[in-house]
Amino acid sequence: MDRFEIATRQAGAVSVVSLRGYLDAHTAPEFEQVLQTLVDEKHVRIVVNCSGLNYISSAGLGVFMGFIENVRSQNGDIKLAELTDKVFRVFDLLGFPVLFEILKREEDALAKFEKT
Amino acid sequence: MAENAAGGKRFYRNWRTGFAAAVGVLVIAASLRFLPVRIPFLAEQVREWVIAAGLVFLWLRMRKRNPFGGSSLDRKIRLFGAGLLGLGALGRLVSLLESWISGGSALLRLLGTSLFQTVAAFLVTAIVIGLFGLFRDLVFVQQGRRTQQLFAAFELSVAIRLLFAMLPATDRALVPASSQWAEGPNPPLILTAGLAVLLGFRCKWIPFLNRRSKTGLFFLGFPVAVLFMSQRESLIEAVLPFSAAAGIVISSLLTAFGAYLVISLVSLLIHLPTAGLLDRRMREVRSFQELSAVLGADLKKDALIAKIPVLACRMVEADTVCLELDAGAGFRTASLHRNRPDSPEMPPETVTAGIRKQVLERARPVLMNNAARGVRGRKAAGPSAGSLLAAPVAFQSRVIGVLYALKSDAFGFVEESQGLFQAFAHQAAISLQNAGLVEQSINREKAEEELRLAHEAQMRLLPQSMPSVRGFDLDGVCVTANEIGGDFYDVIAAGRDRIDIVVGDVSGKGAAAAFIMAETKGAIRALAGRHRSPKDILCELNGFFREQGEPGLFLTMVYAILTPSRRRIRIARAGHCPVGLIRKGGVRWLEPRGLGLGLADDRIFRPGIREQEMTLMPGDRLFFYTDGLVEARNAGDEEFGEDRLSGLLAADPSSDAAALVRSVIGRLEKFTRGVARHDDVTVLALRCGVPRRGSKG
Repeated sequence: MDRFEIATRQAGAVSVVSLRGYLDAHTAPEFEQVLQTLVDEKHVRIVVNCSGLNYISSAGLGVFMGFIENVRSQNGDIKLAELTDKVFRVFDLLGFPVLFEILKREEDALAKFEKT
Repeated sequence: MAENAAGGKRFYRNWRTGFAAAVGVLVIAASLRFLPVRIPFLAEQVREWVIAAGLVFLWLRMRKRNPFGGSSLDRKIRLFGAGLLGLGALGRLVSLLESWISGGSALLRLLGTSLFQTVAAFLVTAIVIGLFGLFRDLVFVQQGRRTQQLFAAFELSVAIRLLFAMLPATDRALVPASSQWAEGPNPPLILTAGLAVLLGFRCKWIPFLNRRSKTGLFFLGFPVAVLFMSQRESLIEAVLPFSAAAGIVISSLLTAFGAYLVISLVSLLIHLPTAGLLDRRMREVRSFQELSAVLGADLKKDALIAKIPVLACRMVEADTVCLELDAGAGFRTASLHRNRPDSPEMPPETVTAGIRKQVLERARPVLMNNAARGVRGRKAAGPSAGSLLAAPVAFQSRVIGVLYALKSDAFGFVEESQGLFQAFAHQAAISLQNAGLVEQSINREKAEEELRLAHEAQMRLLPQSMPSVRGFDLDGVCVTANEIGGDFYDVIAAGRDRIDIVVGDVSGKGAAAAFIMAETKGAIRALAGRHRSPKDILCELNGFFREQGEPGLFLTMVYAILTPSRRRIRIARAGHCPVGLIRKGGVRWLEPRGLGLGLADDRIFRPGIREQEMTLMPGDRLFFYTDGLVEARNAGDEEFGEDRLSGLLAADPSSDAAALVRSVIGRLEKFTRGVARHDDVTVLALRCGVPRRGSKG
């Protein structure tokens, strides 16, 4: 299995978190840690780029759910971008499109933040 | 006495009686000498033989049963010294008395020789024979066969001297009246003296004394030796007039005692300067053993870490001991012990870094005895160390830490302490390792136990049997993973002509997931009777989870309500995998909209969920599953996938639900052969029966 990799960079006021590999019960805590750090530092405008994400389990999905309310209460948001079809299928089954803004490209997500 | 008459054996066996009898014979035989009559030569010889035999008997008795045998070494040394002192004093008294008597009246001379000398001679003999046992014990401390042979040789030489003296032809040439030595050296005498000197070197008890005893013994022993050696001859002279045999025995023993006394004193003198060091080594070794035992007894790692510096402090008599452990990202102080408020503080990190490097590179202790410059940091806040000893805490060449001992004084540590300190550090490493292993295995056991309980809980939550439904057949299976995946299913006869089918998956894993499954099952059973729409039931469950659950934890579920008589089924889906409808060799996926349970409030959840209702045709099959099925991977890291599942279902010729479930699980097992299962897999099938008359027509 591929390893899980996570990278964070700033694009203006927005933090871009790029995920690669497998996000499952074993790697979810790592993702959780990164999001926690961002939120602690008041970086609440977050784009998660999933272009390299091969697999996401329910534990991985749970990480998004664990932060969204907190982030939104601080006028921020978590937007998802560049999901592969397979990963989108998992998000879609669960009904995530109702809860999260899911965009085709990272730029689109950044642009959405600029509008607000 | 009656007892004596009863049996000779008992007489000889009885030590006291034997002893007393021998003494009695000796007294009588010796006293004959002082009768104011001249004894014929032959009678004199017989008397000598009797005395010799008596002394030999006593000698052998003492050899076999030493009355001081049970005493401690200290006590034996003290008794031996006191005996020698007594002998010296007695010798002096005898010579004083003799000069006084010889200057007195005729009556006094007669009484003196017959009374005073008799008493003196007996006293000397008794003390000397008594000391013999002590002497022999001291010689044998820490000695082996060689010494036994040497001692036997010494006894033999005494026996030879005795024998020479007994031969009538010698005219007692070997036993001069005035002095043993005045006669000039004779072979048996030289032999006895030589052996006595050799025995003198058998004083291994000296190293066992502590420094105080050694010093005390030396200063007390010295005057005793002077007195004893100066009075030696007067002691012999006190005995000699009574009997040549007694004289020979006494003189031999006194020679041996004297040699032993002198050589012991010299030996003590040699040992005195190192006595303190030896004392310390003894303390160190003893405490090492004690401390190792204490270390080994503790299996809690934290307690051990706290204890190690305290014990190390005691062992090398350090003022401060610090234990550093490798925390993964470098060495950190794990525990520190300072003996007194003014104990030195650890040098700054810049200094310890250098010492640590040396210790790690050499993998053996580093001693800095004059650490004035090396160890003191320029800006050391508290009292600084004069000397420092550091050792690697290593186990099977893996260094897990460093142990530092500090002393205020320079040259505080002896070179020899290094080895022991290292041994202690090694022992500490082993103990830490053991504690770690024990903790690990306890944790593992706990985890395994938790997993086992969770498995049991999960299994109990699954339906034990399927309700029979007229016109339908149903089958389900849950294949659990090593980690509890949180899958569950239930089939509930929720009313007349109503069967509820539930398949769900909790997002968490392990015991927490099992707990939520249990809660959910209870909630569903309670809700099933109260609502007629699967959508309402899921909304209620969502509300329940929003109240109970924690953020990030959710549940996916498919809820289906079957009305068997009308072959109607209503399905609602909360974020779960779609339900497959297998009809006439094709598969259609039923996927009404719906969010996972616990993801959003009712405001969002309720509008987002749809219900799908349909009438089943005879032969239709519904296939429910959890994501563990399509996400299962084979050895080539390929997913089982929805497409493969679709193809499998479409082509499946099974005529009943159980066969379909078997077929899918069989296919999955073939696919994932050799790969560990990461998630639970649940599969449930419902088949709408074909009426008999229908098949006929």
